[in-house]
Order: sequence, then C-alpha cells, then structure tokens
Amino acid sequence: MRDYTKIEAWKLADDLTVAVYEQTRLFPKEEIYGLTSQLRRASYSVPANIVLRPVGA
Amino acid sequence: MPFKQLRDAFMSGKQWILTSALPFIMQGLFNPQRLTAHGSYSRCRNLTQGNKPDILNGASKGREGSAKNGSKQCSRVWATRRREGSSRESKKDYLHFLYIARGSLSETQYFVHLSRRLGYLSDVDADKLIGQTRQTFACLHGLIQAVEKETGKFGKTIAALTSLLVLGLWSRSPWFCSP
Repeated sequence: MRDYTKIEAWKLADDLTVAVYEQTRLFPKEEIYGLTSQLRRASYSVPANIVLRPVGA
Repeated sequence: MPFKQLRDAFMSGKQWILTSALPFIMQGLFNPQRLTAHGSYSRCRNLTQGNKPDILNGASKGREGSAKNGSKQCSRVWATRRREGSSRESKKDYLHFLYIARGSLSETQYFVHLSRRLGYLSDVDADKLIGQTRQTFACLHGLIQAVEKETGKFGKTIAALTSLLVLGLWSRSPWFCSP
C-alpha cells in the first residue's frame, strides 16, 4: 500500500474536510442531524475513499 | 490441482485440463499470500472486535455516533476487504473507490451551495469552499485518469500473455495441423 499522504488529491480533500468542519461548527442547532451531518459526511468521504487503496494497486 | 496430475495431463495430451485449470493457477500465482495470516488483517479484526487503540477510546462521548463509530465501521469494512481482496483486481477496486470519492465531492459542492442559499454560510466562506472543491476535483480527476490508464495497460498485458500461453499449448497438441 502506497503512502496516501503523498497523494495530492488526498491532501486537498483533507484540507477541504477540515475547512468544512470549521465552517459547519457555526450552523444552527436544528441542522445538526440534517445539513451539518450530511455536509460533514460527504466531505470526509472523499479523503476516506482515496485512502481505501487495496493492496497491490 | 496438484502439480503431478497437471504434468501427467500435459504429457498425455490432455491440454484442455490445463487450459481449464489456467484461471486457478493464475490466481494462485498472483495471490500467493494467505490473508488471514497477514498482520494488517489481524489488526483490523482486533480493531473491529473491540480492541481499539487509545485514540478511539479517547474520542468524546458526544461524538460516538460519528467519528468513533465511523472508525469502527471502517475497520470492519477494511478487514472484510482484505479478506476478499485476494481474488479481485485491486486496481479496478481502487478505481471504484475513487469514483465514490468523486461523487461525494459533487455532493459536498451542492451542500455548500445549499448552505449559502439558506444563509448558513457567508458568500466569502462559501466561495472559499467552492474553490477548494474545484481544486480537489481537478486533482482527483487526474488521479482517476492515471489509475484508469494503468488498469487498461495491465488488462491488455494479461490478455496478451494468456493468449500466447493458450496458443503455445494449442501448437503442442496432437490436433494442431502444422503447415
């Protein structure tokens, strides 16, 4: 398995996730299980899927 | 199929046995590792069964439903994939994950847009996030193209090798009429 921290796309996706988490901290309470949760899940899914690199790829 | 039987089959002119066993032989050649004995597989299994490292136990209780549970789920999925991965084409798998990542990125882009429309994000913040998503999109697209190219090349090489092998076996068979 190659070192995913060297993949440029992963670095950008990771930065995006951190930015999204910071911005959504100020979202209204009624959106905790709605837009906030969905936006966070969608954003962290990007680096997570880049990391899921099978052996040999 | 044991090696001796294969050799006997080959010597007695029953090449079709060898040809039918070819996929299994190729699988054995390319995936010689026993994944259940692999260190990372057992670590993933331990993580799934509750022997979590301190970093997960230290996660705050309010976030049990997200980060902690997510890590647990991921570890379970990863342990399963390690087990299944022996018989699958890993590059194609990786491509599949990259397509999912691209879909999630599009989703993120829309949610940022929606947050701006609802007034949860200021124009400056939303523009910043949209810019980041576009940059990530471009980079991810490059990665996908690179992996697609590699997968195509690998597939063609395997196909060419298999055809050469089959042709070689066929030319040795008694039914082959040489000109």
